[in-house]
Formats: sequence, structure tokens, C-alpha cells
Amino acid sequence: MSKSDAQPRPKPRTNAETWVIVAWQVGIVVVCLGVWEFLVARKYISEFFFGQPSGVVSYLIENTLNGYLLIHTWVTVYEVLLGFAFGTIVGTACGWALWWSPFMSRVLEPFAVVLNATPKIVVAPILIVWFGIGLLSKVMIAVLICFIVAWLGAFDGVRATDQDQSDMVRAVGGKRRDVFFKIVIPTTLPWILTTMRINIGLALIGVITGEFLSSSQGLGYLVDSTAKLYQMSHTIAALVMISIVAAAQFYAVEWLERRLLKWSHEAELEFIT
Amino acid sequence: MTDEDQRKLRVEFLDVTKIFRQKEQEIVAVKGMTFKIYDREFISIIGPSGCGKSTTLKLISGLDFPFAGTVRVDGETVTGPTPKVGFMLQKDLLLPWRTILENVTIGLEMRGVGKKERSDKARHLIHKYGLGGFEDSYPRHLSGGMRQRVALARTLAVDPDILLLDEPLSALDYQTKLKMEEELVRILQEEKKTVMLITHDIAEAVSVSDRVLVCSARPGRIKAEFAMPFSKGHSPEEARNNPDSIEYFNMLWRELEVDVKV
Repeated sequence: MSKSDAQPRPKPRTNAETWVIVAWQVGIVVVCLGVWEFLVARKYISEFFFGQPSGVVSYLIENTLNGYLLIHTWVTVYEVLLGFAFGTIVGTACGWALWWSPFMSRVLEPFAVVLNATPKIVVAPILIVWFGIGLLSKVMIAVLICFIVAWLGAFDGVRATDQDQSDMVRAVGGKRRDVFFKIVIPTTLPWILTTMRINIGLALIGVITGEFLSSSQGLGYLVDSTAKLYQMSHTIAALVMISIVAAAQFYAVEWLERRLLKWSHEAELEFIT
Repeated sequence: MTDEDQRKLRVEFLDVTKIFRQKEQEIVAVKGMTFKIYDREFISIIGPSGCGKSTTLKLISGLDFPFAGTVRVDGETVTGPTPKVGFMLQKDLLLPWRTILENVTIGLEMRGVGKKERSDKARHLIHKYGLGGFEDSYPRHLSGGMRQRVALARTLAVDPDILLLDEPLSALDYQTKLKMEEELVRILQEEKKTVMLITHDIAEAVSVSDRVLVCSARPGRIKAEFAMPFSKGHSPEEARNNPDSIEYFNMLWRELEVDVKV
């Protein structure tokens, strides 16, 4: 057993290693931006078509300070959050409701399949016709998309409810209501959180598509209108803001997920919408 | 057998037939099954796979109903789950989102027992079954044997008189199984429960039961019944070590063999 010293061991990840990774990440960004800036400065590529990092940064700083970008960002975030919240809550409730009625779930099953397979964004033009070019139509696009995804997700979770667990609850004295609250809801929770993760992204896509189609406010509007005027640095600045919003939303949902699913480290679900 | 007739009847299974519909097919799980369980009796049902043993359990616990015949518990026809009857399955059915304590208290919650009282009772049971210190752990931190002990605590927390056990130990490794078997039998004897055990394990049936019912292949019915002299006042280990138990084992084995086609 004295040979055990010779056995190779996996190296523990050190702090130094983490820093090397961060340094590489920063390096990649700096090099890309540097090359881009250099190419534009030397006129190898045209600023008119490609924008310029320094132009993007100065636009970002200036328009953040004077509030212009923040207003558009707020409009988009507001539409996304409102649509996401409504769509997810109502959709989840409808998915849960189907647990109470196996009959209705069989009736609605084919509709669910078709809705799931259809790209949800195609409803955007219709909703703009119905709800006008203001905020409401963008909110409704997000509501509709989130509703469908949340409904199908909760419904999937409901169908994964364990019959034996439900029987156990009834055997120890539970009623149908107890089975719902103590088994069905906790069972579906991972599905709901997964749909939230999907929905927050889809809501942003929906809202921005709506803003592309017709609007006078929001980051989607900014991207669209500046691109049409060939103000590439401005377009890219708006794009940067969209990325920041998307990342912030994603991490917020992830944080929520970790809070709610602390009983399970293996909350990975093979659930794709 | 005459003195048995004077004992209190707990469970009656009278000429019960259960049919399942699977797509176009009708499956007769149980046909004309009849048996009785008396107070504080420990009976085992053995039989080939798919002979409707688990169906029997569902019918007694009121989670399903017969197609024909009658199932009675304490003289009353079963119309739904009753607090008198508890069950334990091979799957421990612990809820992964609840701590051990919360898993044990679930039945008390349904009964509307106050928070303090149910937590006290659950803590007591958890300690009694050797799980002290795990109250706030989640099920995934526990081994299979410990999880089944939690399941037992959950089942007994609501004080059922009649316990239905559907191969509760068969997912455990052999050593754990033997140890758990000792504990389970001791606890159930101490608590003076009436028990019906469904098992594949003939040796287990011989060593723990007062009576063994042998079930035929599907459609299931009771084809033979044997009184077991070993378990009264003995632990399963002592019963297993009784040289006469081999004879009973062989007797049950022969009875089963007719139906088991490998």
C-alpha cells in the first residue's frame, strides 16, 4: 500500500486558476474590441457599416447620463416584466387546473401539442392590430407567449405527479385538496421554474419584436430606428443594453430557482419547449 | 381453529373480483378471492408476480374498489381510505421537498393536529426508530434502510391499527433487510398491530407470520393457507434458526412451484 503515493490525484481548483480564467475572458473582450477599433481607425473597415467601440462607449455614457437610454431600457423592462408575470401566473394556474379535470386535459391535449410546435412570435402582428402601437400590444405579446409556455410546462409537471405519492397522502388522511397542495404543486415546481427561465428570455424576444414592428419607445425601437439611419454605434449601444437586461433577468430567475429548489441539487430537467 | 373464530375480525375479503381495462384488453387481476384477517394477526401473502397481491392492498386501503365481491374493515364495507389502515410500499414515498420531520408529520397535518403537537410526536418517533439528528435532513441524504424507517414512522404517526406492507424491504440489500425485518417485527408486535405482508420471500413469510396465504397465478385467488408456528414470541432470527422452519419453507415452495414457470 506504500505505492499509493504514486497515484495521480485530481488537482483541486485553486484561486490562481480562477484568476487565469477571468484574465482570459477579459483578454478576449479587449482583443476583439481592440482589433475592431484598430480596423475602423485605420479605415480597413467602414465606421458607417460597422460602428466603432469608442463611439459605442461614448454614446452609452452620454445617453445613460442624460437618461435617454434609461427611459428606453425601462420601457422594455417594464413590458417584459408585466407580460412575463401575467403570462406565467395565469398559464401556471391553467396548467394546475387541468389536474382537477382529467377529462379537460384529454380534450386540450392536441391543442397543447399544436400550440407548442407553432412559433409563438407569429402572433405579434395580430396583437399589434388588436392592441395598438403602444405599450399594451408589447405586453400582450409577452403575456401570450409566456402563457402558452407556462401552461404547457405546468401541465407537463402535473402529468409527472406520482400516483403512489398521491395515494400515500390519501391513505394518511388527505383529501383531494391535500394531494393538490402537498404533492401536485411541489412536483410541478421544477417545471414551473424551467418555464420561467425559458419565458423570461422569450418575453424579451417578444417585446423587442413588437417594438421592431411598430413603436416609439423601447430598446427594440432604438435598435430598429438607429439601424435604419445607419447610426451603427447607436444601434450597437442599444444592443449592449439589451444584453445587459437579458443577463440580469436570467440571473434573477436563476437566483429564484436556487432559493425555491434548495431541497434538490439535481433539479436538472429534460424539458424542452 | 375454533378459538380463532372468537377473535375479532378486522379485515374480510369476500369473493372479490377485480378487473382492469388496459386499452382493448380486460385483465382479471383477482377472481373470487376470499380471506380474513383477525385482530393482531400477522399474515403474509405470497405468490407469483402479477397475481394481484398489490391489488389486494389497494382494495383494503380504500384506494380502489372491487368489481365484484365485498371488502370490509371492522365489519364496514370499504368506501375510501380510512385512518385505521396504513400502508408501506417497496418505494418509501418520502417527499424529496420535505425534511425528515416534515415527512413524518404529513399525516398529522392532514388530520389538523397542531404544529407543536405533531412535531413533538414526530420527533419522538424519529428518535425511537434510531433516526435522531436527521430531523432536518432531506430524504436524499439518507440510506435506503433509513428511508424505510422514516416511511414506517410516517405510517405509524397516524396510529393505524391495520398495516398493509407491500414488500417494504425488498429494495434493501440483504443485511439491511434482515436487520430491518427484526426491527419491523419487533415494533409491530410491541404496538399490537394487525399486519398483512405481501412478499416474494418465502423465508421471510415463514419467519414473521402467524399465517401464510398462497396466491395463485393470475387471476389471483387464495389457493392454500398455512398456520406458521414460529413467530409467536420469537424474533424472525430465532424463527429462521428453528430447524422445523425448513419443512414449512419447502411446503410453501412446493405450493408455489406449481404456478411459477421459469
